[in-house]
Amino acid sequence: MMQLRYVLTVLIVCCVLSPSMALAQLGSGRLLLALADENVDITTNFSGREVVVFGVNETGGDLAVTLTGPRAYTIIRKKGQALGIWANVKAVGFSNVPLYYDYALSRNENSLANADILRRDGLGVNAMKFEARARLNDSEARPFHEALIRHKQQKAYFSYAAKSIDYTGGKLFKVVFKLPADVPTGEYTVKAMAYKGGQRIAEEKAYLQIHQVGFSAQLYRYAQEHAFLYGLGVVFFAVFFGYGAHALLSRR
Amino acid sequence: MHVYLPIAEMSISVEAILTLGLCVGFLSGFFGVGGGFLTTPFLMFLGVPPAIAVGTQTSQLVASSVTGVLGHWKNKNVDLKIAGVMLGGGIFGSFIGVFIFKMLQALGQIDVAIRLLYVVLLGTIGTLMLIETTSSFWSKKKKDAQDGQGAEDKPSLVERMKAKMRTWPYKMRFPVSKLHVSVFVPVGIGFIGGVLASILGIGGGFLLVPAMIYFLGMPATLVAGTCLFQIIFTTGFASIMHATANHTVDVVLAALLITGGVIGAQVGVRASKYVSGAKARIFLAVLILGVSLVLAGQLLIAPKELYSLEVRL
Repeated sequence: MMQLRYVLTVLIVCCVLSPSMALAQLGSGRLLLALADENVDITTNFSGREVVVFGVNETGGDLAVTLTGPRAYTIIRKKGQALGIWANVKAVGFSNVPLYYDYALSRNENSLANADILRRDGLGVNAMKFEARARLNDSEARPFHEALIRHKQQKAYFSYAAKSIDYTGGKLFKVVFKLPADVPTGEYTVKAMAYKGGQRIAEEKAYLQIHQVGFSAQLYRYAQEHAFLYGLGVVFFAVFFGYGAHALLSRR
Repeated sequence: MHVYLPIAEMSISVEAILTLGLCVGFLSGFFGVGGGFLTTPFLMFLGVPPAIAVGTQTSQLVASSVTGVLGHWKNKNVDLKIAGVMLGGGIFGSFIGVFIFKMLQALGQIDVAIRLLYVVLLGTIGTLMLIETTSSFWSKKKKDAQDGQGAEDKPSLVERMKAKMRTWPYKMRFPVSKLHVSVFVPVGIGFIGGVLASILGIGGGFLLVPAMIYFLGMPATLVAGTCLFQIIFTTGFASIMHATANHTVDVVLAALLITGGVIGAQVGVRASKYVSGAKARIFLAVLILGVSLVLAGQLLIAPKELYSLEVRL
């Protein structure tokens, strides 16, 4: 099934590519992007999955591809000793931190563009700079910012290093991102960017939906929308199970 | 094998949760304790967020209390009137508990608060149990020796508190237990049980049972059944509250814990026939002390990672 999807995607990309060959000779190169599957379905036996990105880079420039999850307000707390106990003593909140981030590059990021452009385009974990909600100077905020990235990397929500981009045939490229089992749900953005002479010359986006489906999704939705009935249901289920257990125990 | 928890939104090892359920079930079958004090710390250790661990654990307690109470019910060892009065305090307590839980969560102190409460409670209970069980046989000899002197020391703290409680108003008669006490005593005990259920995800039997014996003066035969009966409702109420107010009850996780618990309880009940009560109690005391020491270590020893992360959606 997956194999068939790849073949189909490659075929589609090639069909788009052939007329654009003529265009490319005219000078303006195109950047195209397609996902092998636009949905990642999380079922009860979900244990992580690969996201395969296909594309065509006719620009002749260097390429970067990012995969970014939904953004959220994220708090970093620091422990300190209070009355002899290690408790959280300081907290710094950061706005718009992606729940998930991974990226792939065709060459080293520093030779792609300068630090300002890398930061603007959100390229690479090192270029990330999130805005602290509290009024802090750089040296105060830095350890919290570093801790944020370190934690995300340890949970495999941020990557440690750039993935590689495979050029399968001339201008056709492929990137494989690997999602962990506890990947956050929501709408993800896949962005391809081409750079030439330190400047971005082309950009293309695609969207990826990561959602629970089936039984798992129904449970989640029910628990959110009918919280009271859900709670009541769980308790009834527990009473039923407990009664069954007693029946089993006392029969012997 | 891994299973995806729909509410916790994380994938977890089925074997690990079933094993945990088995161990806790074994304990409840063997000692007649709920074992909630082990589930919450171990779930946290497996990476389940504390809020989900506590919320889900309350529903597992409903199941194990139902299993436990039915035997007592058949033997008519449940005092419904006392249970009902305690329940009044219990429901109010779990309501307050869920509110305190939410407040501590917002302050970012829930992890520390849960650990600290566990250390204090388990440390005290474990120490008392160990002292009681190890000294029970030689204290008998001591008492025999003291009898000749007939010197009574000052009344203990429990005695003094009991004396004070006798002066409290709104006395009520409980014919099944043959008691005439102020309603505030059972209501107060129930209240503490409710708060513990919703903050720590434990039934609190290990605290309620001695309180019902010492402060309420209930006959020992009725205590376990009445306490379990009351716990069904407080934990059930706490479970519904957590599901409604915090969305932290994961039914898949609960099902796994309950399944493991049912099997473990069967094994535990059988195993208990082969081990003497005193030895088993020493083992339980050591286990309780062990858990509290590990948690105390986490609070007192400087952690390697000073920073922690929380995402607000």
